[in-house]
Formats: sequence, C-alpha cells, structure tokens
Amino acid sequence: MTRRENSGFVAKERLKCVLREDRSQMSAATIAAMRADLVQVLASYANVRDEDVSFYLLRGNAENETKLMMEATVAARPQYSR
Amino acid sequence: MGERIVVTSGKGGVGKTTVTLNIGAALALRGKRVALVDTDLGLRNLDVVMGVEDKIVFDLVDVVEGRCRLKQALVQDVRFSGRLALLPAAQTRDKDTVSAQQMRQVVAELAEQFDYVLIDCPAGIEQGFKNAVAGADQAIVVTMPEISAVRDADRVIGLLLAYDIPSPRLVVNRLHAKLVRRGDMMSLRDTVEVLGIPLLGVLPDEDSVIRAGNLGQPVVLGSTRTAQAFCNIAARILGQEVPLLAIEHEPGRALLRLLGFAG
Repeated sequence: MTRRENSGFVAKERLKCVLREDRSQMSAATIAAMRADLVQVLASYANVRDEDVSFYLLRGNAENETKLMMEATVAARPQYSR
Repeated sequence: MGERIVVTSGKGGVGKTTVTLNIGAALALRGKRVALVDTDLGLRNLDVVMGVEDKIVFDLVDVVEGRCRLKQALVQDVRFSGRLALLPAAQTRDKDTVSAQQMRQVVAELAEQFDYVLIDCPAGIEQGFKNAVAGADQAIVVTMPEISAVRDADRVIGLLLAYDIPSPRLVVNRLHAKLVRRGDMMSLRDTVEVLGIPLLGVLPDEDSVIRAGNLGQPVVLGSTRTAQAFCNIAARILGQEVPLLAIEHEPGRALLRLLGFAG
C-alpha cells in the first residue's frame, strides 16, 4: 500500500505558488524568466548559481503594496575564469 | 466615536455573517453598545441568522434614501438588553443602490451612538465590498483553512491595504481538529503563516453553529466551544490577552467516549 499524501501540506505549497503570482500580479512564467535573466546578470559579476537566488514576497504595510523581494547569496566559492 | 470594523472574506460561505453576529453579540454581553450593519443588498441574511427577521420595518436603503430616520430602521435585539442592534440590508434592491459616500455617512452616524459598528460585507470584491469597506477604519478577515478561501482572503487583504485599512486581523473559521491531525487540513499555524496578518481568533468546526443558525440564536448565548471562542475574540478586541483555544490538540470524541466522558 502506498502512503497517502499529506493533502494539508500540498495545499500550503500550492497556495504559496498561487499567492506569489496573485500578489506580484506576474505570472509564474514571467517570474521564472525574470529570475533566469537576473541570475545571468549576477553570474557575470560574481560566482552565483541558480540555486543561490530566491524570490519571496513581503507585504508592505507602510506603502500599501506588496513587494517582490529577491535574495541572492553570493557564494564564497573560487571565481571561475571568464 | 465608536470603532468601525468591516468583516470580510472575499469568498462566500466562510462564515462572515455568523462571525459578525457573534462577535457583536459577545461585545454586547461585555456591556458594549454594538450596531451590526448588513451591507449585502439583495441577499440579506444577518437578520435570519440573528433571528429578528420578523422585526424589520425599514432598511439601509430606506435610511439612505430618506424614507426614515436611522433610529427607526434599527432592530433592537431584546436578548441583549438593548445593547445589540441591526441595520438590515434591503432585500429587493441591488448593490449599486447605495454609494460608498452614503455608506460612510450612515456608519459615521452609527459610530456616534454605538461603541462598535460591525459591518457585514458581501462576498466578492465589487461595489458591495467597496461600500462595506468605505465606512470602516478596521477590518476582520474571515477565512477557512482551505485553499480557495485562503487565496481569496489574501486578495482581500491586498485590497484592504489599498483602501487604507493597513492592519486587518484574521479569524480562522471551521478548523477541523481531526483533519488537521491526520494531515488533511492546513493547520492554524500554516494558514496564519501564508496570510501573514495578525490572528484575532480561531473557531472550531462545530455542529452547534448550524443549529444556532436554524434557531436564529446567536451562538454566544450557548455554552459551546464556539461560544467560548467568540467571547475570547471579543475580549481581544477589547484589548485583553486571551490564549487561543487549543482546537487542534483537544482529544477526539472517540477517545472521550472511550474514557467515559462523552455520549
């Protein structure tokens, strides 16, 4: 017998994706494209890989808006030669 | 000047009307003067859930269009010694009958006479929502731990920010302990985390709420867990710190029966 999926967890993960689109008013595809472009730009200056970059949303209270935040960890790995 | 609180959810059927009525009733039991406003023009329901549908003479639209004074349209609930009153919605008119400016005036006038004005918002985010929000300076967002309800709540929270209601508070309704325990419902913690606004209270999924609605009796007049939860919410609105009901951790009925505590 296969283990039943924890549907509450699935709901939460699906919500996170849907709300990222709803709040930023950008489609998942647009966010993915923006992310890919940004990673490319960062990578030409520092040693950054795709998994070092994360996007998340903050609900701004003061400015009455939602902010799409990007966090990029510039890893302390040896710089590859260009 | 009383506080003006809109109760909203985006999605229909999550319990806005029940929450509005019972928070209002719980505040009245604490000695506050409370006015409830049903803004769901054409689909009024607060009157039947409250059990005062046969006492309505005038409604919100009559007040706005000058056919009666505000005081004449208010339905007093005798069970709360004159401290709980309802301004009913019109049943035969549509949402565009009243403007945001008119709503603002009515709510402001009520706030002069009552400690709390609770505004029951219609489902959706169209004109009815805009009207309900127009008169308010605070908001309570009601949701259920369910994907569609949480998504709509999130949308409404975003809109409230745009309407200058910067810090709405969350009520999570119909939390089903058994489902959470077996992993088939988002937990309270998950729901609050996803929405990211302060939690005002949590309500269990209890049959007593349906029964109270059938009878037209506010839940808070009984002695159920839900009644307790509503009283806790009222206390928090009044600025007291009350711990949350530990709904997810309460023993199941099967266990209680086994131990001989429940029939």
